[in-house]
Amino acid sequence: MKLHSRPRHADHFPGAEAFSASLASLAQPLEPFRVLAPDGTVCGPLPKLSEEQLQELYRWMVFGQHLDQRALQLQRQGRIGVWGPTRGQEAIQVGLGLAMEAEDWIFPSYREVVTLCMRGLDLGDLLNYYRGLYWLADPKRTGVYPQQICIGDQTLHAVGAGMAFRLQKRAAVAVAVIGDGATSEGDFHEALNFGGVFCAQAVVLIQNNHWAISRHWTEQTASASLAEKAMAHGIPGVLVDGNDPLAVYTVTRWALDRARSGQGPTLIEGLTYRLGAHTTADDPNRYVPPDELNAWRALDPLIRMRRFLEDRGLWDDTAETGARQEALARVDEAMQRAEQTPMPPAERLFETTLATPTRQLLAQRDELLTDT
Amino acid sequence: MAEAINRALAQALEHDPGVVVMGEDVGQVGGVFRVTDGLLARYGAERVIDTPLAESAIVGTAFGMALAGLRPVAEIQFMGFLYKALDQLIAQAAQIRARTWGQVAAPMVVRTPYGGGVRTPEHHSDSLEALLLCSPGLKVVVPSTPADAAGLLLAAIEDPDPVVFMEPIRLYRSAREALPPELRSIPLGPSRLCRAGADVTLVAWGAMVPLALEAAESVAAEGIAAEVIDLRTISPPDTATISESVEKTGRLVVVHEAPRSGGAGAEVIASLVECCFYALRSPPRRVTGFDLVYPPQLLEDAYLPSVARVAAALRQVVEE
Repeated sequence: MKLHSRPRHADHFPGAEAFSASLASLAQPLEPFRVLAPDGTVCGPLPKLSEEQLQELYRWMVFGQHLDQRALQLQRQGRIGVWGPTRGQEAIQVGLGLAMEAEDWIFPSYREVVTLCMRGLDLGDLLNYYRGLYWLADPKRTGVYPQQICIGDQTLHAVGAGMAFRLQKRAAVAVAVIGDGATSEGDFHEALNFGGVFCAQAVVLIQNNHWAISRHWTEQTASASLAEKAMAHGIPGVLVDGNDPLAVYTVTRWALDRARSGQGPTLIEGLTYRLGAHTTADDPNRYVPPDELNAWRALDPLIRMRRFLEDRGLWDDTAETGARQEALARVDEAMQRAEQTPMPPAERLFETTLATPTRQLLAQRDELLTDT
Repeated sequence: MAEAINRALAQALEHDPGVVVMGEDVGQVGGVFRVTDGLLARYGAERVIDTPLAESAIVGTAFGMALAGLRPVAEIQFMGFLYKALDQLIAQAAQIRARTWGQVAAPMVVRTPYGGGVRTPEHHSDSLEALLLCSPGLKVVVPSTPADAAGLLLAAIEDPDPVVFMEPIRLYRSAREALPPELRSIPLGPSRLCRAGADVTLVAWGAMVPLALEAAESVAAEGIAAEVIDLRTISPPDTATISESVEKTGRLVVVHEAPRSGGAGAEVIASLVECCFYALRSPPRRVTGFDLVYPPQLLEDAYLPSVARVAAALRQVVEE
């Protein structure tokens, strides 16, 4: 498949030839690293994972698929607020989730819910966030920091935490996950620059799902890939097939080990596709070309991983049904728990703004309590 | 004052292994105002970090470090450059406690030289405290004496929430006083009574405090006794002390360098009018920078509050 057709446009100025040559020598291969071909056959080095781990990976993918589906229903029923669909992006989430160690931290965007659950985030807490409460789970316990809404900001947080881990001699790595649109933000570049300079124990993973709401990634940048943006910052940039969970696992594991052992950060671009809308408030029919969407539907990561497992006798229809039922039961149980969570009293907001509420905050809290 | 801040930073680095000092040119050269002079040699490059030149990254990575358990003291070289870091400061560092129901804190300090009067080039003289007042989760502190600078900075470093520490450039060299060998922190919040007086309450902060005191002296001969209060912490402001004073004097003048409209003076006066309206004997006045882009060096004196302007306001509120 041709991934990207943008020509490099460096041939109309003095010295262009030498410049193009040096670019070409530095350029990342545009063909992403891949272990499983879209039909599920093995085309690259298999990571050392047990049969149980392989099944577990796929089970999480099925969980992601059904969590997404159920969340869309819950949103339509008015039981949760805006949801950012993750359909099509399951592989990248589970590959990362399996590669991370218990002591690692993740600074996510809003499209890594499966990774967060794999990291130990309580699904009830997550659903409560979508119901309209703040982040209930303690990040210090799970290593899962709140989903970032301000695009790309979390790259700096991961790099800062990764600088601290290095200073504290902690064997931990901080991972920031962003979308393709975030690579246009200044913070993204500042983070890669700081990360490289200070050898931060950090990894920045781009879920290139092709769309930043309505802007196609090839219109987001004149670069031929997002991974190559690492070159300018002197750190490795790796392009990986984001619909191949084994490839994502291999690459993220490599990058995590590298950061953990003090060799600095890595930028990873996982090439995937947002099969759904940006959020439940979006209408992708206005901008997604049907041909491209259909091409990527055929590359569905769930199909790929299932075929791989079936070829090895590790999966069948019964297992699929079981995994689906397990996923739905899990989501329903968590939602029930979320909806039974007692509403925190609004006055608690005045107590969690600063460690010690100011006189002004206390007076305003009393105002709320007296006037309502 | 620069030396006092330097000593406070050294003391914090000495006592708490989690403290790191970071920013542009803070290490090798000791800061453009030499505030961090000698710290790199004593505490090493791991804890006194010369960063690349990017304000958002300085504050954003400091925030990440704070989450990981460090106590970063980040410097933004001039407050006019803080704009680039406002997102990380306001949307991230200041909000994480609320966003996690109080479970996560970001104890960090952003130090930044601010204010005019020393003939700096464009963008080097801004006073941006008003931008920060309306940002919940953030504290804003401005010292006016070396002792306060040292004590308040130590308190800011110990504080469990993010603090912006504004250092008046004009006082770095001109404000001098002897400090004890072991510096003590001064609690954030309470203001400081600099001069007692029964006729009018004069509130100021930073470089405007010595100016306010001079103005108070200049009208003393005319029989006007001004009570001068150094606000010290701009957010949250110590309105209790000011209201106590205004209950006594019945008159209020607020002085600051930042533009008048939407300035911190408006907040101080509004709070005071809400609680002490009937004690007021004349309308409160503001002596401030004008609602202008900070002017170039040769015109900045026209912009900045002067002793004469403050004295005129004092006379006016007493005569009205």
